[in-house]
Order: sequence, then structure tokens, then C-alpha cells
Amino acid sequence: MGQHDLNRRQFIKSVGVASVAAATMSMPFIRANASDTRFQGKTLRLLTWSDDTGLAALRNIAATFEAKTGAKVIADRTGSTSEMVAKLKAGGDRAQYDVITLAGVGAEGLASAGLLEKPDLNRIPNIVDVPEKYRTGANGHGIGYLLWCNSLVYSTRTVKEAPTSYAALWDKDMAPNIFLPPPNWTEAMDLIIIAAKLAGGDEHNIEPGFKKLAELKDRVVTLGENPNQIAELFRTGSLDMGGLYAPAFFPNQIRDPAYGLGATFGMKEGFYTDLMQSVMPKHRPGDTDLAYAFINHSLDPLVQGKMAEDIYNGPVNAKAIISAEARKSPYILTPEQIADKAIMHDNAFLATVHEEWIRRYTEIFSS
Amino acid sequence: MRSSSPKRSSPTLRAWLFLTPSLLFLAVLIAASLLVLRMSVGTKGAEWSGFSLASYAQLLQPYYLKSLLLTLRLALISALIAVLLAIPVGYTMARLQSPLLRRIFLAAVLLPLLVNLLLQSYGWLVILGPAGMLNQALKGLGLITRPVMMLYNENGVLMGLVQTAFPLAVLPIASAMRGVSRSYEEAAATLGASRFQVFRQVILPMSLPGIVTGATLVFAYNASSFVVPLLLGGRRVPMLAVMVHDQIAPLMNWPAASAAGVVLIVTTLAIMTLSELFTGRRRRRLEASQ
Amino acid sequence: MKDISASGSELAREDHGPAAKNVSNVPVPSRASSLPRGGRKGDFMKTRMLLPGETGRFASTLSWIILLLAVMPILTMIVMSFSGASNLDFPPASYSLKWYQAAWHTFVSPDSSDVLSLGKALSTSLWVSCLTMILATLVAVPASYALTRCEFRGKAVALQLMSLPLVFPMVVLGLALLLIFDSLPFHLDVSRLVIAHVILALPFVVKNCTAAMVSIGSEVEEAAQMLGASPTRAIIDVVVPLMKSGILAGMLLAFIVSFNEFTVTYFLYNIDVMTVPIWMYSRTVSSLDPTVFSFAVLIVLIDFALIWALEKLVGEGGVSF
Repeated sequence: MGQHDLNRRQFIKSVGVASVAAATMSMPFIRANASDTRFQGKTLRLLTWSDDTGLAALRNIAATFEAKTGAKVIADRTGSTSEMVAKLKAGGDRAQYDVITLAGVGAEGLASAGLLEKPDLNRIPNIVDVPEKYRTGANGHGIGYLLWCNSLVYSTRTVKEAPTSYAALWDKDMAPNIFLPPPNWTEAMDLIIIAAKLAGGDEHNIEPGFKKLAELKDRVVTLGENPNQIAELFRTGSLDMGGLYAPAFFPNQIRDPAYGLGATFGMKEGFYTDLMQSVMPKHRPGDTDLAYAFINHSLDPLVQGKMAEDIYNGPVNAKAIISAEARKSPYILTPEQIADKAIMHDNAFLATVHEEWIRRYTEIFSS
Repeated sequence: MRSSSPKRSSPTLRAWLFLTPSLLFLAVLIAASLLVLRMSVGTKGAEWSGFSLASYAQLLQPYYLKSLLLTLRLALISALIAVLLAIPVGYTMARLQSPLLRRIFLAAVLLPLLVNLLLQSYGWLVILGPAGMLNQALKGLGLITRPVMMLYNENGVLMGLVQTAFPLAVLPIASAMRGVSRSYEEAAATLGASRFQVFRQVILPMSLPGIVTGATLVFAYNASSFVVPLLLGGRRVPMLAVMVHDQIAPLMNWPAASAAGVVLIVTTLAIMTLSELFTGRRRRRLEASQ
Repeated sequence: MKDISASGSELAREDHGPAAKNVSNVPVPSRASSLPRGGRKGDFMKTRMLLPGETGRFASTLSWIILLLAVMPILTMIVMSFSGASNLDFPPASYSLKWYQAAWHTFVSPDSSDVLSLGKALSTSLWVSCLTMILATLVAVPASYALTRCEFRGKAVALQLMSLPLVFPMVVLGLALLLIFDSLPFHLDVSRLVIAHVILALPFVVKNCTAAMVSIGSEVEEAAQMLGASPTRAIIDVVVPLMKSGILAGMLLAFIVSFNEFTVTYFLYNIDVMTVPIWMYSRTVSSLDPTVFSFAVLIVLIDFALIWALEKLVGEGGVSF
């Protein structure tokens, strides 16, 4: 429509991007490096999340990258993994994006459709600080850049002490009104495994899990597809507890005492994580060096620390710098906590049972 | 003097001439349908080369059959309720004299279609949620102790379906009623009919095409609805379109999604055709009498 | 075709569907006289006698109640957009215009990319929706004529085709259309949105037009032709004006369907061609920000203005095309 000139003037162009605060935010923690200005004038097309994590990625990763290297980042922020992936798969070899950030299951889908390039790890120097298991995913096609960590969410008004075990969900007195993840989320799959383990089975012996889940049916208010609705239900006292859910879904509401929202990672069984990955499509519109530099930048210790503090995701870089102030918060995970308690689920295994488990989960909870 | 006048049976050519502009767009739709049909007999990963009826076989499981029945049932009930509510509203709208009032009415009727459903769902949460205004009022009056769950279940979904498709029923009914000349009402009144009799025996039958159109539109629109059950059903009301969405989105099983889509389309169209046949006879009588 | 009834001036001001075909011999009372109605059951509490054809208090009260219930969540949302707090507390503890200020700020502030995105999305949306509305109507009116007046082979198929977009699950349709458009040798941007939206809007326009056309008997056309008009003129000059309210209903629905369409558009948009619902989507998924309510109110106002204009233009007493 003849508005291409405007693109050039833009600093960050995105769909409904960060609020005014982000644009005026100062970035003292990134020092401009003279040698990195070789990317001056180049453009990177990024596809990322539509929720707060995407906003944070733009604030902490993209904006700082632009300040450091002089490149421009054009971001499309309309993806939740599932629809994003379906659209990309349908798009085939049309080059739209240089880097895409998405969840493991989406990366695998794209990789198996042959749409991704396997990145050369030697071109990502920061990766040496990342523990082996968080480095790559999707058979080497994705580079981990943050850990999506799932917690138990509870009402600080009715639940006095943070629960120490997932069994709290089955406690009628502690949690008379609960919410659970929707069936199509991997969190639901993890919950089934947790229920199975609590009932004496495990992921290969899953029947006890479904039986145990069925016990929750009467107390389930909703399956939380929309985090804002969940936060609102907590605020008005209609929910006491729920999981698995990431505090990263509502960082603002958790910080606001009026909501009475709390979240804990301290379950003795450990907390489940999902590796969020950056991938490079085979057909890219922009510069390959630029794409590698961007991914490397997302693994920078300072950037990793900032993302963790901002959005309550877990950093993958073991050397991530998290301020002493932030370490006091129960929501901000440190690399040590992650090393200790994080559980990564097996995406390959889940892919085989995904469909059937979704069906059974839905059947249990349909009203 | 013209030698031929347009009778019911015009030459086929003329009809197709009139249909040509729409055919250009419909051609794209037909291509899309064929594509979906082809995908539905493919296999995951080999959508174009594979051939298998597994996706359809899978749909015979009770899980999917229940979902299909649920979908059709909710669509049907919502159509009936919507039409029932739309009749008085359509009548009022058709008989409003002042153009200003008419426009306000029209805008108000169309509002549910104009506003993003996610935002409306927050509104519903505030009104009908467990801690919403209605529950608080009922508690205050001492009628209940535990909140009544009006959302995140079938009732919530039904209500959402009726509310969002309501304008689709009102508009055809209103335009049909507007087409019923006042002289009929006045004539009937002169002959001694009460207002209600006039309504029931003159206006309603003559607006029947509009009423049927309204019901059909609402039924079809709601049968493939997936946003309403998603937002107001708390993911607990598995209408078929939600399942289709899941097959495309996390599961990436396009053949299964296509197969489910085909089944949904075929059953809905079948029901609509039956209802057309059913009311067709009545309609032809109506046309003959005019 | 003249109206032969007595109170010509009164009746002429109103719209007639089948006009006064069969009542030419019935003495229609003029407005001034009162009607013989005393002592009838079914009359409701009235201080003045209601004439047939006017809406009674019962009907209009019932209508207003139903409408109120239907728009309650929207009214709630509008009230919340004036709330002083940033949560969904209702009724709000305090009122303020700050969310409108924030929304205005995104319009006015030169650096924020929201400006350009929203402005561009808005103009794309308006452009696509207006095109959809016009095209869909131009296509639907002749189609509905063929479907109501003519008998031809394949009519049943054509009828079903017209209903198909309604029952097609949107996700599957979006995916299929994307695959089709991508397989074409040439590039389409705005056009693919328009094509998709016209397909989606067709059932609404066609059904409303056919319903309107059915109520107009074919004698009108025949009479016109007997008076010397060619078949085409008979349609354009006689049938179409009589169908106006049906056409208007279809046009409005086409516009609204197109303006608010999300699912299929999601598959077909790209960064340069984006509509308002896509833009809104990313804002509403993030942590709740009442600014989003302000934007919704703004969009409603735009829709209202367009509905107003359209009704004035096409509706009863409006310009005939």
C-alpha cells in the first residue's frame, strides 16, 4: 500500500509491540562494542511470541542487539507456537523470517517438515556456557535460549504456605477450587505424568495417571487457556490453586499484590521445563552472519539474566548474571536451582502419545 | 409488446449468466474444498502422495461422535433460541418510524458482532463469573451459598453462541417483516383480529422466509464455531471445530483435521438441506399466494 | 404499479414489500379514525388506542430488554475502559480517562511503532472491508435472482455452494486458501484477503437477498414487463429497490464479517498487509491492559459511523442504485 518508506524510519517495527515504557527504557547493561558495528544498516526479520515473553524478548534481546550492532530488527509478534507452526509449514519455502523463537514441539514439527537449517554451533561462541542438555533441541535444529518453567500457582490469601508437592492439588481442604492446563498444551502432558508418578506409575505406565486425574474433576473450575481470565479468577477469590502453569504468563499480575497470586517452583518432585528454541529457516531473507550474531546475543550472560528477571523464565546460560536483589524473589530462577530441580520432558516420546493423551484428558474434563 | 415474459422456468443459460460473477469466487472455494478432500485421505507427513482412510476411521470413535452430536445439538438449540428472541426485536425494528431510532436500534443489534470476542468474554466474566455481579446479587439475596457456575460449561457456551449469532437472526427477520405491508395488518384489524392474532396469523407466516433464513444462518454459523467454546467453555465443551483446530495446531495432523472438517461440513449441509426441503413446500405455497 | 389504497399519502411514506396487490378492494381506514376494537381479549394496557402496524409497548419493551441482555458484556467493557484501576474490578473503584490517553498516545507519539502498525492496519482493514462489501453485493444480487426465480440444472448444487463458506471450519479454510494462493505463480497481497473475505461474506449477502426477493412475488416483474420494460430493466428498476432492506442487511453483514475476521486472515496476512483484528490479537494476549478496551471502543465507534452512513445511503428512503 505504498507505505514502505515508513519502514526505514522505524527503529523496531512490530505488531503491537512493547508499550511506550519499552521504547524509552535505558539499556545501561549493554556496552557498545566497536567491532560489532559491521551489521550497521542490515535487517533481521524475527518471528516471536504474542504474549509477554515476546514483549520481553523484544525489550531485552532485540532492542539491546540493535543498540550493540546497529542492525534493525523487524519483529512479527503474532505467534503462539501452534498456529505459527501450521502457517510456516504451509508457507513452505517462501522466505519470511531469519530467526524464529518457539517451543520445542514446534521446532520439531518444522524440522521434520524439512524447513530448518541445522545451525553450526561453532558460530555461536556463547553456547559453551550452556549445559549440554539445554544447548540444542529438535535433533540439533534448534538452539535453546530460555527455559519455560512451570510452577504451581496458588492464591496467597487462601493458601498460607507455598505447597511443597504436587499432591497439594488433590488436597480438598487446601485447594477447593482449582484450574488445570488445557488439553492441547504440553503442560497437560506433564501433569498426566505427574499424576501417574503420584499414583505409582510413570510415563510408560500411564493408566494410574488418568485415574488419579479423574479425581480432580469436580473441583476444576476451568482449563486455563487464557492467563488473564485465570489471574482475574484468582483476584476475585474464585480460584485457590492450579498448575502446571508458568508465572511467565502473568508477570505483571504476580507483581501486583491486589491479585494475591503466588507461584512456587519448590515442589519436591521437581518442576517441569520446556526448552524454548531459536531456529533458522532454510530460506532466509537476510544475512546469515546476522542471524548467528542474534542467536549468540540471546545467550549473552547479561541478556539471559535480564530476561529471567523480567519475565520469570529460566536462563539456559549457566553463567547468567542475576542480581542479588532478584535472587530473593521466588519466581526468578537461578541456574543453580535449574541444575538442581528442573525436569525436561522427552519431546520425542510425547510426540508418540500426544494425540491419544489429549483425547483422554479432554474426555475426563469435558463437562 | 414483449414476446416472452419471465416465468419460473427461465433458460438455464440466463441463470448461469447471473451466477457467473459469484462463480469466480466460488471457484476458489471449490478448489479449497477439493484440496481439503484430498488432504483428508492423505497421511500425516505425506499429505499429497499418501492414501489412507485412517483419518475417517478414526472419526468413528465415540469421542468424535459425541463431539459431533454435541456440536449439532448446541447449534440447533442456539438457532431456536436466537430466532425466538429475534422475532420481537425484528418486529420492533421493522415498525420503527423514526429513522434516528432505527439506526440506533440497528447499531445496537449489531454490537455483539462488532466487538472482539475475547474482550466480550471479560465482560461475561465480570457479569456471570463465579465472583461476578449476578452471583454476588444472588448471594446477597441469600438464595445461594456457593456460586452458580454459569461460565466454563455448556450453558456458558450456549449463551455465547446465542449472543454472538443473534444479529444474524435479527436482520433477515426484520427485513422480511418490513416487507409485510402495513395494509395487511390494518386489513386484518378491520376484520376483527386482535393485535396478537394479527401478529400470529398475518405477520409471522408472511415473514417465514426471513425466519427460516435467520435460523439457518445461526445454525450454520454456530456449528463451525470454535472461538466461543474456547473462551466461554473453559476448554471443557469439545465442539467439533475446536477438535479440528487442535488437529491443525499442536498436533499438525492435517489429514485428521481435514477429515473432521469434511464430516462437519457434510452433516451441517445435510441438515440445512433437509430443513429447506421441509419449509420449501410452505414457501412455494406462500409464493403462489402472493 | 400503483398503490390503489385510499390513504395514499400515509402509506406511501412506508415501505411496501408486496405493495397493495391484494388489498385494493378493502377499504383501508385512514389514520384519523379509530378502529372498532372495544372489549377484545389480547389488547393490553393502553391509554390510547394503538393502530395496527405500530409497535406495542409489550413488543418494544421486550425488545429493549433482549437487546440490553445481548449487549451487557459490551456495556461492561465500555465502563471498564473508563476505570481508574488496571484490573477488571467492576464497578470500578475510580474513574479516569487514562486508558484513552494511553491509546491516544500510541496514535500521536512519533517513535512508537504502534502508531504506524495501527494506522496501517486500520486503513488496510477499511479498504479490504469496503471492497468486500461492494464486491459481495454486486456478486450476490444477480446470484440470488438466479437462485430464486430460475429453475435450472445444478440449482441444488449452487444453493449448497452458497452455504458452504458458513459451515467450513475456518481453520481448515484458512490453511487451504493459503496453500492455494501460495501455489499460484503470481503474488497477491491485498487481493487474497479480499477474495477470502468475499467468499466468507457471500452466504450472508446471498441469503438476505434471497429472503428479500422471495417476499417480492414475480408478478411485480411481470407487471413491469407488461408495461413495456425489458427483463433487465424490470429487475433493476423494480425488484432491486423493493429488496433494499434485504440488500442493506447483506451489505452490513458483509462489512462486519470482513472487518472483524480473524482466523482465515491470520493464515493469509503478511507483515505489510495486516488488519485490525490481527493487530488487536497480540495486544489482548499479553497481560491485561485496559488500553485494549479503549481500542475496542474506538473500533466500535468506527463501525457505528459506517453503519450509520450505509443505512442512510441504502436504507429506506436512501439513494436507490
